[in-house]
Amino acid sequence: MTRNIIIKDDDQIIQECLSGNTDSYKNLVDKYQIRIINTCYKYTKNINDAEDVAQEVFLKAFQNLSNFKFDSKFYSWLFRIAVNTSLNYIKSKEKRNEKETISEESCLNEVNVSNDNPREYYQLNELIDKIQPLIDKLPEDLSELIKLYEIKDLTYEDISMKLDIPIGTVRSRLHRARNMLISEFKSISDDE
Amino acid sequence: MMNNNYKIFGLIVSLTRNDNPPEISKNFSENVMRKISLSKKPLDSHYNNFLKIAASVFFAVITAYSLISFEQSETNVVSVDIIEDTNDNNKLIKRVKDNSACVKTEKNIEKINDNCK
Repeated sequence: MTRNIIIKDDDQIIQECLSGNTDSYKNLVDKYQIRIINTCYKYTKNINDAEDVAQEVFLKAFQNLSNFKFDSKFYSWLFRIAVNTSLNYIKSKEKRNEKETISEESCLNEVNVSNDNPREYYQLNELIDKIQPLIDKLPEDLSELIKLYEIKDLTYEDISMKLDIPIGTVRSRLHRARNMLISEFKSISDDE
Repeated sequence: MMNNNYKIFGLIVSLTRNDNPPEISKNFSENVMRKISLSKKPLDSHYNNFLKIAASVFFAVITAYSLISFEQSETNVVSVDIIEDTNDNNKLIKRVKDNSACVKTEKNIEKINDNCK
């Protein structure tokens, strides 16, 4: 049975942040952290660096939240910041490498210092096989909506036109689909 | 209050899209929020109030200083201007008188001579 789960729209969360409730920004970070870290990882090729760049991305987004135009999806805006920040990171790393190459001989005897504060990680690849069945379990109309909105990145308006249903219905069905997915996930992780 | 629903939903969507790194640190979002709160610290109310008071005192001092110096400079300018003006006027008058007198006399003489021829 689906428990009543509250998942707010991105626009709603952004409005809350702009009106002073900055703690609600954590919901956006929680929601998009994996995808943003992955975007950065494609550029940095190193998970530690990717997380550092992703932290900067979320910080930049927070500081410029008032510039966000509500006519596009929040993730699209965040994605552009992630790409730009990653490119800047690569440029600065290349410059650093040039300097290091010049002074390489003087540092030959130095031992690399390991990270004193090792991070604890979730292994995501192990979860992939468990996720797909959750979406397949949804009623057909809801799984289609999830695919259109979350995977194909269509807007509410696009989906409304495509499926010929009111925007309000798109919103409420998506809300129901999200609730069902989250409670299904919770039930399988409780079982384990 | 902890709300893991966003984390779970983000996980489901990213894994369905195959848009995920192999691993992710467990306290990533907490680190981001810590960074954000650190970056906000200079805007704390005490610091903010101090800045406001310091700025208003600074502008008051600047305004008072500029008013006093303006008054002083205005009186100096008046006295200097009067002296300079009279000098310049005298010179101008002299030059005009001298030049015109010469030109007029030469031309007049020529004209008079031409007329006489």
